[in-house]
Amino acid sequence: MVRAPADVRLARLLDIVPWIASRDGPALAEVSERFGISEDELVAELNLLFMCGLHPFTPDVLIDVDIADGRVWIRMADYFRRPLRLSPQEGLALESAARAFLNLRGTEPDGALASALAKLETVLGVAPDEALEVELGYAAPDLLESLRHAATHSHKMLLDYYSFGRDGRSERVVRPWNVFSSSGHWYMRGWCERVGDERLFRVDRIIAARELEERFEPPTGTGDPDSRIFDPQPGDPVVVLDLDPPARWIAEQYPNDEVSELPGGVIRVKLRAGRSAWLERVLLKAGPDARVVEGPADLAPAAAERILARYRG
Amino acid sequence: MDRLERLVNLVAALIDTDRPLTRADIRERIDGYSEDPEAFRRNFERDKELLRNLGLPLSTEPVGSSGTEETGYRIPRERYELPDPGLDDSELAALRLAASAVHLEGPWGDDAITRALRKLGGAVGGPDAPGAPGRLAAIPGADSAAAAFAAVGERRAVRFVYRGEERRVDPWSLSFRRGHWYLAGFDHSRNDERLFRLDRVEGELLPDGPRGAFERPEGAAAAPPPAWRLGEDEEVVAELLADADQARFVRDALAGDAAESENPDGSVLFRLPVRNVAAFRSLALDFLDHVEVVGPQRLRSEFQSWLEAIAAAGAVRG
Repeated sequence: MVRAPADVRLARLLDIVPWIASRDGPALAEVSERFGISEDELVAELNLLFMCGLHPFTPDVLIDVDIADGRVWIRMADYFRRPLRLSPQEGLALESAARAFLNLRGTEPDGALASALAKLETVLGVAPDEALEVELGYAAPDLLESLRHAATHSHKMLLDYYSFGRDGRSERVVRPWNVFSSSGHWYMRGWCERVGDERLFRVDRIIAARELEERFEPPTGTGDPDSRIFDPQPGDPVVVLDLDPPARWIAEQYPNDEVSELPGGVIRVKLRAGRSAWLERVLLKAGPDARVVEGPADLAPAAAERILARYRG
Repeated sequence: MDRLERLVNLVAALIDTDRPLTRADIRERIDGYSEDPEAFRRNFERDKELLRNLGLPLSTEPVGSSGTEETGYRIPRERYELPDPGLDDSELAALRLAASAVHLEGPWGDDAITRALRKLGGAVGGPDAPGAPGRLAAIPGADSAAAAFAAVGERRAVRFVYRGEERRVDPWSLSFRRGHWYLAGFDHSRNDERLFRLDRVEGELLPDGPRGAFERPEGAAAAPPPAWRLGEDEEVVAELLADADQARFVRDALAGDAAESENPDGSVLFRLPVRNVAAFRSLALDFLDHVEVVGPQRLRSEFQSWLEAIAAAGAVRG
């Protein structure tokens, strides 16, 4: 049997022992399933446990482990009567998942998840609805539901979509693969029949969506949302920018090919920017703190002129 | 001897003891350490590090009289033991289902949820259970968010550097909105309520002071204000006119933060309170020439000069 590292085994044992010790002989099979350990491995660990205890390691101070008829009893391990407290990371992971899921599903307030959260208050010190709030993004619930429905049933959809990147609106037929939230926004990944390629759609920019009768063959291996949301293509034109410190967020926020330090706190960043409306916005926001070294130097001035036309009228 | 056996004995001894154990005590009481002093020292250091990495609260206290003081070790029960929340199996299954749908990503990896569930009674049900929705959402985690979460629960002050200044804050609530974690609380340095975006905390966020140090005010988890209200500029009510076909996107971006009135041509005038002019400018620029900053005049002029400077830079180059 290949053994896991000592820290993994110790952590697991410290979780398992209190659970068994506080029960009257649970089945090995149940322990194995709950704690994600094979029965053989579990028995091996328990066999080791019953040689452990306190100084001077005489039988009266050793942990008492009995295995019989597929059941297990642990006694004489009062120091392991409770598992270790949740770490901050574990607490946050648990609580934020539960809270986000409640918001998402509008689960009935007296359901199991809501009562679990209420009970966890004693453990985490954080009362429901009082000290932690998680929002996954703005999306009309009806729209989200119909996108999910179409994705689940592999029905094509007709979308009226506003493309932020190209600053334009268009209708298109898409095959919705999956719908997910990442970093505070809802997305739909799918195949766009108009461009004949895979595309990522921001759900809050879908103006209207209609499920079509026509079905599509679902692709394989797209079950997990891709966390790389900003996805520049290698073929997109290269843009090189010099950024003063206030505009460093551009290098931090967007994927780029290369960043180098220049004298005077300036950094030079090389990125791929196919969608010029995207680059327009970035340069307009950064203003004098970003300078185009390579690429469309006239883009931002032209965009500024276009907007100013509204003000000079 | 299996190292696990030594570790189990070490943890048992450190929990069971009612006084801190010295290295000599540990060497004597724990089976599995070497007789050789150098080998013992090395093994004990490794074991200590392993326990701390697992999050066991290993405390050190001086023992002996002054002059001959040495370090004593123990694991205080009150800091080790998880109080029993008494979750039943349907509640454990509901938590597991939620965690399989909404995933907190973090530098600590994927096993935080697995360990949390194990401590609470193990994994019941599963992502393959009927009605399980599969992965729906990923939330970016961060160490600062986890540290802030613990401090909110313990009602314990924290300190950190924000915008170049050291802050000391009573943390009231934590929220994740529009893709970012925010901490709301009372800022002792400014003597006022403040909201902090945690990804802008410079360096570590650390607990500072005793637990249970303050009471959370009612409704502390109210929505954090959007970026354009989060600043030190004098408050003005900005008027932003959006073209008819873009009004819905502006409305989404404002997230209910604005009063609005619709014109006969379908364009919409939004009125929103602004305390951060730069953030407001970025908001308006997202909509390119589909919106117009109408007023007040000072804000409009500021916006216009910003664009004039960009346009002028192009003219010079051309």
